[in-house]
Amino acid sequence: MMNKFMAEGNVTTIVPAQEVFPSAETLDRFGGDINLLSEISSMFLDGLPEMLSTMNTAIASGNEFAVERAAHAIKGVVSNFGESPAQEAAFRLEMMGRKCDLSAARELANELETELARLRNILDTFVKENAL
Amino acid sequence: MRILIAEDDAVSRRLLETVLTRWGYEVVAACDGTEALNALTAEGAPRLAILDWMMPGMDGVEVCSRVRARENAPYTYMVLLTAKSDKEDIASGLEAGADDYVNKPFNQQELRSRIKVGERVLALEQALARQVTDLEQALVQVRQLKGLLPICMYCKKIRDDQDYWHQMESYIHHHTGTDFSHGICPECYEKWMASRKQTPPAEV
Repeated sequence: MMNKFMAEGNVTTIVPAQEVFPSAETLDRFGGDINLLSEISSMFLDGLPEMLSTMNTAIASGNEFAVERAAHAIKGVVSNFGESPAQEAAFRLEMMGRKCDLSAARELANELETELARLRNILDTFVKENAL
Repeated sequence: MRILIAEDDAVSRRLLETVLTRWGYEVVAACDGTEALNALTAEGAPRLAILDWMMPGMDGVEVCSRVRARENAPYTYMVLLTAKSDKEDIASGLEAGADDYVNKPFNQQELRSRIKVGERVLALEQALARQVTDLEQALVQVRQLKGLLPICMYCKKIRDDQDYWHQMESYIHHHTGTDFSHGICPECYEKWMASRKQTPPAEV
């Protein structure tokens, strides 16, 4: 398995790239259209910083409802690319917001950012390969 | 056929739009619930809608509820897109007026099949609406017949609203579609036979 270095804020993590992307299920969701999947991946990558910013602002302000909505939005868009730890982390953060308990939200948001960095790495590679 | 999609997430909206366009639908895209409600209640609005459940401001469930609250409006078939799996949530969406729901991320085949169901329901609803219109028109005509008809006391012609006199058969046929087969009743038959007996045969 290939490893890649990814910088995320002040933390540098070693993120393993997924060997097979897209999965058959994910590709099926896009009607087998690699170009469409690549286009949607690019859109996601472009919009990700804003989504993360919205989530972090919501956590910093202690607004449970905003955290729930921000995490829900991330979970929804990430789910298009197949089941992933990022989707699961976003779901847990969404539930925290819904239950109005943000005591561990910051830690979970860090975990989510790491998983999103992993996904971003996979999608980046995929988009570049299909741009050729 | 035109379909409205309401989805606040640009990525999911783009995916939906692309897929539906490929299937031959004309897509009207809305970014939030308010925009969706305006589009669905406008003149010539799409009759089929796919609405994301969670949207900022007005959510998909509220859009369903408001669309259904209108009176004398054509039927709109609404499908909710939801990541929710709780049966109570689903039930509340359907009770608010949604016709169906599809889980996110959607499976293309499933979504297409559910849209086809919507098209069938709308086709049935339109056929039913046409029948109701026909029946209402027929009822108006029957009421005209049940009312006071001016009739000639000698030849039995009927006078219409424009002062034209019509043969009774043609008047009734025009208003009800009824055709007449001509026969003779026993009473008239007796009279006719009696009149023949009284008439001497013509000399040869």
